[in-house]
Amino acid sequence: MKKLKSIAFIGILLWCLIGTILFPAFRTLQVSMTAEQRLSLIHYTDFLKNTINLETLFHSVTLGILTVLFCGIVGTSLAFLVHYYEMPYQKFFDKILLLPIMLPGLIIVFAFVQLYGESGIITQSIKILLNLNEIPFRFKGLAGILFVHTYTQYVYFYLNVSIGIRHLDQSVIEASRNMGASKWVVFKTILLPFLKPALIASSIVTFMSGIGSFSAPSIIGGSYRVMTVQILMSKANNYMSVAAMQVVLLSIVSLSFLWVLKQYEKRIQYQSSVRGALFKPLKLKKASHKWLQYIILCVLCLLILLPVVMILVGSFISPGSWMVEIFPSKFSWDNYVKIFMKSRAFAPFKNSIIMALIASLMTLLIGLPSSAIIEKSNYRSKGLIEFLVMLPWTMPSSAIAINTINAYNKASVFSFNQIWVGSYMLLPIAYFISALPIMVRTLNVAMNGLNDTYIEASRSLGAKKLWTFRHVIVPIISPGIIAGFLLVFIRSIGEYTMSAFLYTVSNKPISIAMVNSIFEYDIGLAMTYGALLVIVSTLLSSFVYWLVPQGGKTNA
Amino acid sequence: MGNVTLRDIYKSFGKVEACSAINININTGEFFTFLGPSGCGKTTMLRIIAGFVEPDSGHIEISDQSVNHIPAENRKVGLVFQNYALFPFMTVYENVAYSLKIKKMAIDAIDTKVKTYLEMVKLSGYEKRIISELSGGEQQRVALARSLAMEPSVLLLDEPLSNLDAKLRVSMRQEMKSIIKKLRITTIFVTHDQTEALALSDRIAVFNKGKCLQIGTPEEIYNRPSNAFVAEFVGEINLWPVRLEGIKAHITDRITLEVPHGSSGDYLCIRPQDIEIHTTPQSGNNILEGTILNYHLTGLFHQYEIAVDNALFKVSRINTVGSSDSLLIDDKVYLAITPKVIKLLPQ
Repeated sequence: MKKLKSIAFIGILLWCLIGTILFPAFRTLQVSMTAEQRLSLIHYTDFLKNTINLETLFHSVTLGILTVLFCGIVGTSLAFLVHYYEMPYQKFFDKILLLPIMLPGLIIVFAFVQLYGESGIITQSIKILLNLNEIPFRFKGLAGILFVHTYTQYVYFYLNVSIGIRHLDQSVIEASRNMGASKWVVFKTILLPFLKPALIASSIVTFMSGIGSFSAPSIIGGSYRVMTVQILMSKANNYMSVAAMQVVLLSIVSLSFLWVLKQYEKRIQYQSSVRGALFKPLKLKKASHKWLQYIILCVLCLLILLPVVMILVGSFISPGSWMVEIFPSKFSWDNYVKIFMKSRAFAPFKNSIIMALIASLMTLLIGLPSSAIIEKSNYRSKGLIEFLVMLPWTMPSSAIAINTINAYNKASVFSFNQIWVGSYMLLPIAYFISALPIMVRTLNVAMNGLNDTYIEASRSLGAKKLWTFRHVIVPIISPGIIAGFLLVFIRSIGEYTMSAFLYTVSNKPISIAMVNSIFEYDIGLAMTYGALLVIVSTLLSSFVYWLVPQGGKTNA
Repeated sequence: MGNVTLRDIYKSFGKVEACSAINININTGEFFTFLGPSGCGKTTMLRIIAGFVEPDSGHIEISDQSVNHIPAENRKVGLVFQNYALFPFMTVYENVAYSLKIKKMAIDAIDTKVKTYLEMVKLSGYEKRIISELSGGEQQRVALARSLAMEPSVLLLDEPLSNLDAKLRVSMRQEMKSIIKKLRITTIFVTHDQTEALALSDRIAVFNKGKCLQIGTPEEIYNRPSNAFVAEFVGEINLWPVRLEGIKAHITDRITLEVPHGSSGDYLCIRPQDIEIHTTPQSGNNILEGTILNYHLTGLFHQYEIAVDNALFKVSRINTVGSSDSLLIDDKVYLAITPKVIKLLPQ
């Protein structure tokens, strides 16, 4: 009976995972290889024959690689600056430097346009100050996209390398210096191998988000065309087979890079033989070095805070007032009043909150049993479940969107014989698919903290299963559950790429409303939507950081 | 308080036999130790008694009642874990009160008990501390107090001293023994440390490769080991496979020792402290001439490694004032071994 229950439980879970992840991907592959209702590779051959198409694919890969390079240099340097050397107000700088990870990418793009765009405040101020005839730089194309990517994604390198530095083994560094190694040799032979796993892990994340990026290329990309934007164009023109083929090609390219990096990651894994000595940050001896460190960080923090300030200030710009002047002059609460008093303006905010909640609940519902099976069971299907829940991580958002359209534009057993395309639920389902790996990874960490001996200790002290669950298991994993829930919520509430592909009149989300307001020249309203997202995301993220201390809690 | 009876216990994990034909009776109030190297099956046996591992066959009785089908939480068996398994999100007080709350005791009664047991382990005033604020020794005391507070029939200790430093380990084991003796709780202690086992136990069971090789008092285990493994595992020893001819035991072609009449066995054993060491030639049987190869001081003993022909003898001398003055590495020495200190044991 017990076995039958487990089989039924795993069956339902696998059905959900296959129906939402594997089946849509398979359907896209099928659609991409169909022409005139027959199996055909014509879409692929047509695409590969055209040099413009190949250039687009090349642009995407270049963007991925350059994103890794730029984010790597900036993030790693900052991690060393703040964590390798002693400095005052270290915690304050650390918090500011982590800020961009909490902000939805779309908002950053808009804030940057307002600051550094052709008529941006900074661009125009420089022009006036230096008395130039032309604007000093053009914030668009590859350089523009890379600027946005570096701003939004250096944090992955910064975070991982900082953790790596904190876990450096002081005794190994001292041993190396004791044997006569110079600072450069210590860096090359000790620090770099120690930090390589962090660098590779960050490279994987930034490459995947770089190649799958949509917000920046679609808004400021200009003539620098990338695959994600092409996919949306194909879909908008109703060439679904072409869009499917482009998704398959983009997926193949990103999976190949992922595979190479993963192979390298496997080769460089190491384990310390003994527990190392705690790393002590180095003291900068020269006053000039200390000042330089301080000034660099202050300037960078200013640059990081500037877009956030821009959005917050922008949200108070009176409707229709900031059209021709360089600096806004009229401020009011009108935008906030409009959003909260007019149901049409409030609807996107409400939609986003509801859809983000649905997605968070769905990921929790599927993620919790999946994580329990992956971390705590010996079921034979555990490998398959892990593969399925992590698969969306290898898919760019635009691929997930196209997959869901292909899967649910026909009635199937996975959609309960209904057509879901055009319905309210399609977007939350896509959010769910995209966020499932984050939820499962967060829960896995929590499940790992749930040492089996705690459960045994509780039982040996006389506690029944329910008591143990309430008093031991829940307190240990609840921070993970709440953190996972909030992370998915933050990620979904400001999501733009999948929203652009899948939104309908009934569920227009805040990100789409923002873009529409910009195109209607209602910058104040767009900034107010952005400010609301920034406030919600920052508050919830701070709560997550407070809930789950970085580096994990130490148990006993 | 209860006695524990283990009858014909078998347990294997795949092809590995973790426990095989284990038969042990542990008396009420006894401090009993499972001693053996890593992977010998002692912890598996402990977990079988606790109810976390189900034996493939055999019977477990606690207080003369079969507990085979009683789940872990109903066995009234307290278990102190190697890593203590203290709940990190609870205070010291909440950890100790955990089992009492499960029993739905009145708050006053819980309070009295928690304070009594914390006082017993010398942690009065630590009630509100969280676990991460405690040192290893203090965590160990909380774990002991938590298990004692449930007033178990049997207390199981799974290498609870192994995470402490050497000095703390000695003082903690004395304290633990006195608390447990005062409460007269039947205790089963698992360790791989023979010094700990000898110092604490009323009786010891020595395990190897899933089998219980000998059960006896510390004195019996140390002085009268039943086989070569026990002799070698418990304390320092000189151990050689031998060829026996009457009372002559040949260690090598050129080293032969006279052994007591009627001795038999495959291995010859001599404790290092039973060998006399002289600087001048001696007369009589069992005198071996050798050279000091190595020397070190352990505090209580001078320990020498002496090469005799191609065999190496370990010899210990009590460290008293001036006891090492005359002996240096490479010195020629004479070893005198009286037959009564020689034991012949099966493998």
